[in-house]
Amino acid sequence: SSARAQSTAAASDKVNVRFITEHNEIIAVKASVGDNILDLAHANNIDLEGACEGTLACSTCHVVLPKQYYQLLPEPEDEENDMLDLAFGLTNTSRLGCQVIITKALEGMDIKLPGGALDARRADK
Amino acid sequence: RRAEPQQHQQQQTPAKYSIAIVGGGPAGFYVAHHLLKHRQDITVDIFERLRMPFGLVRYGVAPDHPEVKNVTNTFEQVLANDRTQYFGNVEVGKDIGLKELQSLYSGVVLTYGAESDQLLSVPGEFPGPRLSDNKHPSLAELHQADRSAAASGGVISARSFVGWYNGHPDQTALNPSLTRGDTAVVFGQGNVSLDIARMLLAPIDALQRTDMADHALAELRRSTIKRVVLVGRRGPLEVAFTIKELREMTKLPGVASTLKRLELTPEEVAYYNNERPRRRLTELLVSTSEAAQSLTLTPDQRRWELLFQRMPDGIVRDAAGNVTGVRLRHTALQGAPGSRSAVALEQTEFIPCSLVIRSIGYRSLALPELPFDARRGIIPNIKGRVVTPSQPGEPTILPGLYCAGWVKHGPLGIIATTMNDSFATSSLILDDITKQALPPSPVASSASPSALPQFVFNKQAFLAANATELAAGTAQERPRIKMLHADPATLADAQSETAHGAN
Ligand SMILES: Cc1cc2nc3c(=O)[nH]c(=O)nc-3n(C[C@H](O)[C@H](O)[C@H](O)COP(=O)(O)OP(=O)(O)OC[C@H]3O[C@@H](n4cnc5c(N)ncnc54)[C@H](O)[C@@H]3O)c2cc1C
Ligand code: FES
Repeated sequence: SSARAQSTAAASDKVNVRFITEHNEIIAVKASVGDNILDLAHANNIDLEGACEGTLACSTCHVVLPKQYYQLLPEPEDEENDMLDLAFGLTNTSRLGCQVIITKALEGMDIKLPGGALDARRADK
Repeated sequence: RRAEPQQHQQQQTPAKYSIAIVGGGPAGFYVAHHLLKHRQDITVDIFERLRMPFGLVRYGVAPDHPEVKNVTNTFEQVLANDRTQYFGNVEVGKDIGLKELQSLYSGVVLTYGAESDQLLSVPGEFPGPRLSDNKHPSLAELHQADRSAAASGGVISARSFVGWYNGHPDQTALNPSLTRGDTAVVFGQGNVSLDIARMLLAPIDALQRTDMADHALAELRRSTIKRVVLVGRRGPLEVAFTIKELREMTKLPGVASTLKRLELTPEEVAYYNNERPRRRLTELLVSTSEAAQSLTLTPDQRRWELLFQRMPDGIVRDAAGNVTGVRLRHTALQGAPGSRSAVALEQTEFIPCSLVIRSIGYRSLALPELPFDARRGIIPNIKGRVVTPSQPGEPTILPGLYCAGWVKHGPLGIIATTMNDSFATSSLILDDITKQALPPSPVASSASPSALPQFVFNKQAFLAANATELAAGTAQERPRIKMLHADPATLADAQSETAHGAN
């Protein structure tokens, strides 16, 4: 069937990446080209919240990428940068997981989960 | 009487630890979520003053931000867990005491948010006799003041106004009049102020497609407000709103951002260049103010503006008590950018307006039998462990009592802040269980609050109400139509439905 054909094609599109948790635990996963990092984390039972479910209205899917991989990605849109500005522990290579799509070029990437910096607080008066 | 079928007994292994959560907002649900996920031998019972759960996600977050509310899907999963019970329509401190909860559960987590707000404390703020400044007025007094203020054009708290357009049961009777004039003044420059400006100015047809309360849609449709002025004591570097909400204002169809040109000193530029979020926000403010200089406005143009370095000096009313404007006092800024304070100057100015909203911060209330830090307006705590008020010497930790969310760290921050904060509190509880510092449930879990006299809005009632709201929404091509729960007949229906329909 075409579904089977699709999944065989997908199998050859696997990309190896690793999640590094806030406690420095390393979890290697096989991603498919076209996955976003948030869905990938959820599919692998990895603690990455996605409070707004990928609609760019929270910042709970914040991840930090190695510089050489960050540079391979298309620039974030204003809207993603606006939400990233509220992320805890924002770095120069931070992205929102729900906006990053896996490609072959990301083979070997480590995805760092920053965890919550509990004292970083945003004003919302 | 028993409020809930004895769900806990469906477990193969009986739950060992029971946690009561006071307040069904994001903090309460994220604590529950984390606890349930990390241990199988925990049950959680969530107590909520209102019938419907989810706190400010339901009654605070603006109706035109449905994406933000996706977070309730996670909360609904918490409710669906058979180790969770929900006790809606139960006010802790009134319907059941804190001490009683402590005697029934291994631990109690306070996540009851911030139900009150900060006052301007200027002459004319309240019509009639002035509420005293030194004693913070009770919630009942504030509600009463808000209602009479709404009738006379001001000063309404942001909390009440937001509750009104979001269908909060406490605020259905607010009835603010939006047809008395064309200008609204909002004190405060945070996201809540921008939410309010957006609701007052956005095209009504866009709001009509949201879950905004019908009474608010009707009044906004008639509204004559064309101009919203957001007043701040300090300068553009101190605005508390975030860039997403500002960008939204600059893109609001038919609404002009009429900011005065911002003149920043080299020192100020150096300061904001230092920190990415502040830099991006300030750059957008500057470019918006530049663009404003070449706008051509129609007489009927809806518009908003920011007024800096002004503090409230008085609310001016006519002989009949109706608000005719606000008197503002100019301020000077002292200190280094980023930590500047506003100092009052002699010069004052009058802005005519017909609606005044104070949006200078929410405030938590004390709960009977619980320590409270009245100065900071939070429960005194060390990282989420409740302590006795900071007496001279070491504060004492009260075992088994925890807090999270706005009542723990103050009414600041987005849902993500509250989430991290709640996970931190939950981790403490898990630690305490591991270290055997928290006792197993003192009573069989099936014996939870049996003495509640009133109608408990339980899980089944929530599911029924939620389904009704969603169905009503679908019929009108809106996300949901909120039941206002103000009508006793509706309540009686819900009551008999749950009595007969519960399984
Ligand atoms: C107007 C407004 C708009 C906002 N918009 C956004 C947004 O767009 N995005 C975002 O990320 N964040 C937003 N926030 C912030 C967000 O709502 C808060 O971070 C979050 O709701 C705080 O959660 P909480 O559980 O501490 O408090 P709350 O949400 O206030 O929940 C407290 C709950 O406790 C209940 N309660 C109170 N007293 C008792 C009692 N005695 N017994 C039992 N129950 C009680 C209350 O009814 C309430 O349900 C907004 C806040 C406001 C005020
Ligand atoms: S899940 Fe909310 S921004 Fe990514």
